[in-house]
Amino acid sequence: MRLALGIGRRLAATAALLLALSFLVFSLLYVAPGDVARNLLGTRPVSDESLAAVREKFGLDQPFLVQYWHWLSGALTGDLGDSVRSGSAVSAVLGQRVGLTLQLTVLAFVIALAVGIPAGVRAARRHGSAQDRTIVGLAVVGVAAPGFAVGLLLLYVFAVMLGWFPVYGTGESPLDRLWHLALPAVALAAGLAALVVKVTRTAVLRELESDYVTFARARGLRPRAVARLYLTNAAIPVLTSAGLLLAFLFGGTILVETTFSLPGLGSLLAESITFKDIPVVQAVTLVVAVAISLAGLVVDLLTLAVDPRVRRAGLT
Amino acid sequence: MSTVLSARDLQVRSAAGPIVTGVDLDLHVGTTLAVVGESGSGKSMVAKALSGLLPRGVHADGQVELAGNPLDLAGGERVWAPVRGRQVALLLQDPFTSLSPVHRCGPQVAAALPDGLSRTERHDRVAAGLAEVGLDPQVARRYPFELSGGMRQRVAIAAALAADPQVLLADEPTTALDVTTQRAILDLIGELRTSRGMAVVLITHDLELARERADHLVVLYAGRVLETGPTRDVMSRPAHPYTRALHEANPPLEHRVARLAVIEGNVPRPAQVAGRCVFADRCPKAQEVCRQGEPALVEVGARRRSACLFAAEELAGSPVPPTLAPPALGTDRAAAVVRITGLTKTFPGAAVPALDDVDVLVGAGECVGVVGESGSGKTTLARCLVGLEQADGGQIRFLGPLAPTGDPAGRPAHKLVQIVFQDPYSALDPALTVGATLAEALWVGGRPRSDVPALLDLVGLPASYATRRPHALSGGERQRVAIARALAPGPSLLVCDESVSALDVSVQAQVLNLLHELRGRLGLSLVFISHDMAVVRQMADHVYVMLRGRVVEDGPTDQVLSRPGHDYTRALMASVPGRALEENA
Repeated sequence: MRLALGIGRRLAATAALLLALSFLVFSLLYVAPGDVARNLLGTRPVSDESLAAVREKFGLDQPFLVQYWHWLSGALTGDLGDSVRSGSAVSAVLGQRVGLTLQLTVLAFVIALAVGIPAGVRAARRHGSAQDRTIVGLAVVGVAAPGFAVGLLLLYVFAVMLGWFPVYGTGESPLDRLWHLALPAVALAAGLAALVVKVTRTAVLRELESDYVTFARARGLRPRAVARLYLTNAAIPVLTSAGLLLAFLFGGTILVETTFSLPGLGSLLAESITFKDIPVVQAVTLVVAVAISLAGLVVDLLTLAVDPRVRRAGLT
Repeated sequence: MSTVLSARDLQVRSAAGPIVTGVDLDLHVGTTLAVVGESGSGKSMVAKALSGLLPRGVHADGQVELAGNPLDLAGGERVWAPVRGRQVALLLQDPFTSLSPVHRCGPQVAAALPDGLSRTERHDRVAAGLAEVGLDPQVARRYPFELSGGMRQRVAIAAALAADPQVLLADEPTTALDVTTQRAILDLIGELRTSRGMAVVLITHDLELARERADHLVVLYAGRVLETGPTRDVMSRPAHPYTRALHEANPPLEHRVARLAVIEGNVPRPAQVAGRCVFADRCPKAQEVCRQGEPALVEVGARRRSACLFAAEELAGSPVPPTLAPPALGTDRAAAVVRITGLTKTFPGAAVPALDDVDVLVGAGECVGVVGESGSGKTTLARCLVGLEQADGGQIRFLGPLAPTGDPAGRPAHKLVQIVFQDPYSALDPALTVGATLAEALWVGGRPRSDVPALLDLVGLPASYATRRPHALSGGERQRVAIARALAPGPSLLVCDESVSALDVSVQAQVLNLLHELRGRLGLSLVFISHDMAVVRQMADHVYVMLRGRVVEDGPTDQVLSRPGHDYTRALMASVPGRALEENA
């Protein structure tokens, strides 16, 4: 009962957060420098008639909140307006791009976790050894190196010099797509994996020093059984930070997609900002915000599954 | 009696120097051996060495035989894996941290069971194990955080015994528990020892507890064995001044003494006292020869050994009976310093109130004791009294002759009442020097920084301590600084919340004497909160007994402790270690 109430409260909080975000996103229109109507006209010829037509179409003479309401109800039904640059519907533009970015981020996230978690656990278990120092050293490099720099390096070595991977393009079949996305995903995952290593290492180290690990060893549990105890406990902080890391990942896609000339959301955002294509910028921002909030929600629900104390307290 | 574990010349050392040197142990089947020592004695390291769980960088050495087979202490996991659990298991102090918080109790108990059991067999073994420690089989499905401290320690015992060890090493198994639970857990360990034919090594700081529970004692100090022998003999006729002093420093439960016996100074680190008698610096009987070399542990009687050069004289000496103080039959409570009426407080989400209609009165110059277990509300009461917590209802009124200086009412609260906390390690800001800490407190009280030396002198510390930082002080010294800080603004009421319970016995008596002395000198009133009935007997004039947020009994200390009117007070008195023996004696 208390648990259901807690989950309900968490869902309501997510909805409220998204509402507030949508308000901020809509405000982008007015925050952008220059006249709103002119901005919405984009590269089309500016005349009194065209400006009046835009004002009429977007209801710019109506109060701000009314405009927001129109925009929001449109957004909820999938109508995000038209792109200033191409004139086509924003939802259609997004539709072409969102799939690739989703595949790229999921692939990068999986690579980062698959590399970062085992490396972090290993570093913690060999705390203070040469292995630990090597892993931590690599992680520092990974955090420090910008994604596009890693991307360029990977392109040069694996695509240009060795020719193992394509330089650009997105591939046709699923396997081909994977082959095309491998380098960008690795470039994107490098920094993320480094963060995962640091978080995992810290979490596991803390658990290794706790009494219950000593007690488990003291009563003769096998190393595997002891590991099961502390890894479950260490999973909680790792899980909690994974949500934050996802947000980090979206920022990275802009640079990496541009580096690899991939037509995804990141490069779309970059182009749209350059061309002041405000409806598209709004839409991409909204999509990313929704994705990050949902990731936060998923993390909280997973924490609930792993940590009985949170389950008892009913999510706060 | 067959010997299950014997150790000869057990050593534990780290790169920084020796931690424990020259420990000999003989553990017999069906008996309990107590290793008694204060902090820094190395007693926990002995337990860790005997279970192969020494921290990284710490090494053990010595000849150890376990069940007739030699055991290589430095053998690594290959040697220890078959030993731990099946032959030796270590039970830790704190049941709140010794079980994994996110796993159910059943699987944690089952984890140490041998392989190759079927699902139902494992289930049955867990149920039987829980029943053996007096728990319902349903507990297997609960998480540790759903259980009380005593129940958790029972689960931990069931887990430790799951693989049927012959030796149970219990490292302070009841220190983290409430007094009434302590007795039950110790009784349980005693019963299991008999029913399973196990041998128990009890590691403890509490000599009285060891006296009550152990057959044989090993007294450890600064990494050295000072005395060993059968418990009864050692306790009735100690052969080392330290054993005697430790026993005498324990506040008596039955009567109030004029002044508690103390051991001067602080517990040293082993490296500080190498190459001489480790106790010489604090020993009232020390002579030049004691500092010239390290006395060997020599035979002084049947199965008895002592490391004192003058052991024979010690054995011949008879204990000096302490000077008794007049019993606390009550003080003049007409002139009250503070009157608390109908205080209530319920924390959000808590099922039971922390304070439920509590009335307390503190007379001028009086020491009021508040006793109770964790969850009784005594700490909440203290925090409400100094304004760290806001009560839901009721009244706290400061009245009467308020200050030693006699200044009128209307002073800000911090000049009326101050608090000394339990843990001197976290109560002081590690970044500030002692002088800066005290100057800050003086400033709050409107006094000049130049009063720092006088303040240090008041709590018996040299003025040179002003330049030190907390990490360079011992626990007792830190608590003295905390007391000085509390006294800086010139309060008329001092609240001591378990202020001596984190200290070693030998140091605790010093701090209690100091508080007693300060009370006389400054005309302070004290609210003394404690779980320790013997300490309360020594300190308090009037005592309040709290249970689940309510005051269940109050009265002059002598009356309440000697003739308790409430069952709970009786239970508290009966739980004090050593009590049963004194009644039989």
